[in-house]
Amino acid sequence: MVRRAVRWLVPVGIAAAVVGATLVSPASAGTALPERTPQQLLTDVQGATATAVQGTVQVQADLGLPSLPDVAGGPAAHRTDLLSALSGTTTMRVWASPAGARVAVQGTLGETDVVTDGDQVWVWSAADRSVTHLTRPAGDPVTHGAGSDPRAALADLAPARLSAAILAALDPSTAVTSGPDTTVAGRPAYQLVLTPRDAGTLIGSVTIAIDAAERVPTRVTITSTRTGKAALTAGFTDVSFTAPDPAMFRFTPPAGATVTTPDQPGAQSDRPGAPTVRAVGQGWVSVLVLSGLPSAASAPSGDLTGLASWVDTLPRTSGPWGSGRVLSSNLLSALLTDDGRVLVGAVDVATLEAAAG
Amino acid sequence: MSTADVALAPGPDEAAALPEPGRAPGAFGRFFRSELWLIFGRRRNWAGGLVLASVPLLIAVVVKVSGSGGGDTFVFAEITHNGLFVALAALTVELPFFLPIAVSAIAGDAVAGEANLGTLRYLLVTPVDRARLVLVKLGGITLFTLAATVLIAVVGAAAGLALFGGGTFTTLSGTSLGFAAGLGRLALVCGYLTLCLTGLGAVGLFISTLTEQPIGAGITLLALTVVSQILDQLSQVAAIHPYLPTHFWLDYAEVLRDPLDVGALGPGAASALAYVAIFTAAAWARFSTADVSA
Repeated sequence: MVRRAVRWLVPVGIAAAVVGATLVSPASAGTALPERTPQQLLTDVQGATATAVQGTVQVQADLGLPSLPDVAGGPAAHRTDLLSALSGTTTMRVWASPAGARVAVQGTLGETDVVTDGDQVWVWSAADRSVTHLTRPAGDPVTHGAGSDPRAALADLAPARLSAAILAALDPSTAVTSGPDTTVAGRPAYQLVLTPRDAGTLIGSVTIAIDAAERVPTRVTITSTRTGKAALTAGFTDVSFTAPDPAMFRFTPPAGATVTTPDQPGAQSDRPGAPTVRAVGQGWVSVLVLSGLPSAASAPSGDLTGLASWVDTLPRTSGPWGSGRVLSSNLLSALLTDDGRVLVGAVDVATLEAAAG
Repeated sequence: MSTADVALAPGPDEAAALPEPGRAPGAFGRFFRSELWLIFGRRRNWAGGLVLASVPLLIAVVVKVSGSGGGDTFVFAEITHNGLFVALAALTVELPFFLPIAVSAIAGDAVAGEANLGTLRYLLVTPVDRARLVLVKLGGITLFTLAATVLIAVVGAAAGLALFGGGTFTTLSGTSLGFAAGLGRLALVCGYLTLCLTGLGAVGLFISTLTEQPIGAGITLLALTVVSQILDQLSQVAAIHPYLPTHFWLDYAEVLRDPLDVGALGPGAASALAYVAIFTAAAWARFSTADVSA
């Protein structure tokens, strides 16, 4: 009888080993990194020499948003892959070098790709087999402005770009400290922790992991004061800093795909009634006020109808400032007033209403 | 068990299945061949194969007659551009239910079927190692799942190419591959699904050692498959999703991306192999200590 019981130890042992292997996170790098102050880390990032990157980025969002419209079909179906990045886990594969960039947002049985070689931008959506093609007009002055170069914008992948925006907004309202060393995509990394001093913001802290060898941000984690947990994490799960094959940055629409060439971005900004943006307040509690937006009803195509019907499901509110609908999440709140303004900030709804008044 | 429980005379049906005493070289091969004959020689299994093969034909004809609709998923929408996608569409459609039914029928029958017919004790009279019998049964299940997926793929590809032609193979990433590369991707999908379904089959093999009712074992496995797929849809139990046997099945779509990243199939392959290892060991633990009286 003893022998009978012993045999059962084999499957049970294998099962325990398998489950154990999945639960034990890979041991963090044994060698401790030399100390670096936050200032040194910031300088490191600016002095990073890596020009190319390829790897897999995972975005985990716990924004507490109301459910998003039209996951199954309809006019907004082709946006599903991108919208899904706002809830749950989204996997992206990225390739970037000075020659161009490619981002593949992966969904189950679907994919949305953005491909650019610097002069042309292709957006492919497998869901409806559509291709959107943009070409930079010849002699466009934008070519010389690094800020709006699509190549540069895409080369600053989600984590890197997010960090740059956050670092630019740094001011005395923020406590900047070094966090414990960590491991991102199997590589040792420093951590920079930004903690808002303002009590009114929804953002608890922003933690940026910086690759110890390449000095490039490889992961950003934003915690929410509402949940006390990470509301948004974007980071590499696999990364290499070798240049991808430039052929990756060219795109030929497959047979039978629908190719559309929308108005050039340059032409759009000349349109009368372009939205205006102003900021109310400072630092982490500042509120952006957008006015002059085209209303959903007058949208040129059916693209926004799904969005408009979703907006109609948001709760209504009113006050001395008027009335409107509110969207509240773990990191950002938005107020859409009936007079056509949109207020957005990393604050609670009451602060938005005060800014609307 | 004790050998006294076992009748001594081999039955006429199983005479061919008996390996030579003393583990002569080639005995294992003969045992395995007889197991394959047991699976692929049965008329009811041929009927099951016919059902599996009818789905790609149905898809090909329906798409040919009425064209692809606007709301179709990528794999269905591609059918009219490349006939190979009929095979992929058929595998996608049959993966949640039809293929698990087929695996359940075969795996549930593996040991319980022999016990039910009374042939199991004859098998064990001869000095056939029980561990070896479990392995032969697992090998039979593996070859069956391979045959089932390849059957669907071949019928689908043949029907698709006849009705829609070949040409370039569009990946999920919007790039175009040559016909041969497309065929290679289809073969990779078949290989991955075979591995996934074999993981399920190993669970069935274990259930099959628990009972003498092959239908009960098969239905139990099918019910587990459905429950696994339901749990996989519930975000409240997201923590257990990676441990569900069906969780990684849809990862076969990773093969349709470009550039190909075989590593993306790693979690699914590891999960399937873990299921095979755990439940084959469990089947051995159960079967090697079980009293076989029927």
